[in-house]
Amino acid sequence: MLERVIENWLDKANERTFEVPFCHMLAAEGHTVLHLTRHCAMEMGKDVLSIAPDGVPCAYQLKGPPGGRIRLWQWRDEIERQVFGLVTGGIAHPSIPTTLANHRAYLVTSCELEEEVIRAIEDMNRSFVRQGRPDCQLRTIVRGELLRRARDLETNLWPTDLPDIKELLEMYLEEGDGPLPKTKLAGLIERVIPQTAEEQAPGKGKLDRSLASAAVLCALALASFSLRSNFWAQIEAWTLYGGYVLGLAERYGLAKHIWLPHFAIAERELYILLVRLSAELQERSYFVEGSPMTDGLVYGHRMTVLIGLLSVLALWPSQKDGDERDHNFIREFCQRHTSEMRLWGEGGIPFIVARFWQGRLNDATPGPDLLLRDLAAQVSRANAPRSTNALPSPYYDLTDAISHALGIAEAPIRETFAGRSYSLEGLVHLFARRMWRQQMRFLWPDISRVRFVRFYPPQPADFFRSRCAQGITRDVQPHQTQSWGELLQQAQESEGACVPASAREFPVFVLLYLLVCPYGMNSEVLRWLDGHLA
Amino acid sequence: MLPDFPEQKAKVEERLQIRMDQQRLAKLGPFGESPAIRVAEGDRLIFEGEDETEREMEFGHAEAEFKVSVDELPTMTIEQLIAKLDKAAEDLARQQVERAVGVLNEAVETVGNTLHMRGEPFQAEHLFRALEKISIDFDESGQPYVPTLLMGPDMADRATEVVGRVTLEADLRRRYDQIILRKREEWRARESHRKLVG
Repeated sequence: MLERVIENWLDKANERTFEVPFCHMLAAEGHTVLHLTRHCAMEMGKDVLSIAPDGVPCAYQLKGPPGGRIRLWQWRDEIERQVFGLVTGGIAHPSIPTTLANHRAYLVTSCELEEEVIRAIEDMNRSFVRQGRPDCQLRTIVRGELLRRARDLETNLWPTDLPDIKELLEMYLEEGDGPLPKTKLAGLIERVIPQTAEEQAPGKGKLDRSLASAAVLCALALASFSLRSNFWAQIEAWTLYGGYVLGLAERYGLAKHIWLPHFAIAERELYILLVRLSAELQERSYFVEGSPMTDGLVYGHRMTVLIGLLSVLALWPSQKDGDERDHNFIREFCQRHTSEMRLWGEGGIPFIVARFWQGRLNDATPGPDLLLRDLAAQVSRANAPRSTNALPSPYYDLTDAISHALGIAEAPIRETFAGRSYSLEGLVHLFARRMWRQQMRFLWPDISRVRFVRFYPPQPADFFRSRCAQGITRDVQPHQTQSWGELLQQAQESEGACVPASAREFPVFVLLYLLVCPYGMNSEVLRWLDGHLA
Repeated sequence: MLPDFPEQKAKVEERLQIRMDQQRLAKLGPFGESPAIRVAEGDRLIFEGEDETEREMEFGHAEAEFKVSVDELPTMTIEQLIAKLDKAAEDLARQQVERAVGVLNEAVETVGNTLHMRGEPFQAEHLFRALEKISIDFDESGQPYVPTLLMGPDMADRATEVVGRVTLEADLRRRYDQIILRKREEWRARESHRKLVG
């Protein structure tokens, strides 16, 4: 049945939707993937670049036209010119030495080629030979080959029991215009990527195939969201995947060359999705989505998500193959719409903290610091003991919070949020690091009434798990009379002991992970991020 | 298979579950109004006081069962089903209250806040001595958050009578007001300690 689902997915796929799983297939075969494109006008015919296991650079043009078959007119009108450039043009990429002159060129398509197209490709290849350029050859990877490669991954790890298959099919058949069912996807990925360390790590080949297999499963579950260009859902999905890769690396203490190729593909895809989201916002005059009648009820939440994501994009490290961000637009958008942000619960805090770090990139005024101050003040007042409008904990995501706020939730929340907070200690520490002692004096009475809650997973590898069965929740009463010196000392610590070693090179990814899974947020990780991002 | 109506039954079951939870909360009495927190992940919960002393909360287990026999099914009404679920909710609530009272007693014993009545019937004096022993918070307008008095069923009537007398009799009322006045001063002093120093 799953094979049929893969076939159906390939039938519907466009080059965007099968690009990432294809890259993971390459990585599982030993390729080093260097580049994947965001399919803009500047792509120059090379969607994916890799170095094959034998050291030869490879360039791929991806085509997924609807209709199941590339016809001769499509070849003549659209594809031939692009693939000519793909075959004959050199590869300009900082990671490919100029000494490696020849490369392999591939046309990859999720459909079949018409016989006339096959003939045209053979003619083109023969003409290169006649011209004394036998190295210039166009190779093809078509639907059947992609299916075989997908099957050769560890698809035996894919869900086989009916409830899991049902979950996958439900995700596959989603409309794709709403939020990602994260819990369902996390459950599916956890079926493929081992979560408990066995005595010995599986071999590289098996791990490669598992990680690629999980990526294909992820792409499959995400298909409807990808086809709708639902960027937030896709970002959540690939962030979850990236987190599971880092968690696996940490759990087994894996060498970097085993896991990094898969993580790098997910990371690059996240960057592309953020850039595409930014480009869409740039083209829009209004930020209303779906039915406008009730959009006002969720507009502020949407702006919080958008500003948080653009802030992450602004903080993203520079890319080797060129910066595709419009920093001016990002800055202006965030500035113009910050006042429209709406906090739905503690799950929204990482979005605003991301905005704080983004603001500090190019705002030398106290503005960003005061955003942090206002946030700490808001949380301490909202979550004061006996408060009737306390912010839900970060375990309640945006959809839960909206349902409860609008009174359409299926069951009432039976939990009390007043008197405690998962985020306040971190916010206090970030603000203390800015040395606003007098401002902190005003805040402290309210802060001291709210207990600081922290969750400690059993080991750093569990940082990226959706829920840990084991671990300690600490519920700490802050001091009524607090010494500034001691507070500063606590705030200055930024070792980030809870952050897995595998993730330490990727602070922006860790921040993005907190946007997607805010329950991972605690004062320790916020201080560590501040050390890297501020 | 035989004809079935799974969707409708699932909806009814969902609503029955919500009702059962409401019943359980109602039966918890004052404990139903106390703050409830959900431990979303992990298996341990540690409270750390302002003086950095730690107290680990042990998780308790509560369970209740209800049976519907095949013989009952042909004539079973929704009211009968609800009655069974209410009984189960009551069982659960009873276990929770017993546990909560146990934890409270232990906490009171630990900090030496026990008030021994030495076999005397409950009187206003006991109420005043109990109030003296605890700290009371006040709202922004200075009104006390008066603590809940938890009594066994055999003492409930007597307690209600004593509280009524404290409200109505001038001498007792004056004594109560003095205690509250003093508690307000203590609260203000406590609040004045909420500050950043150094």
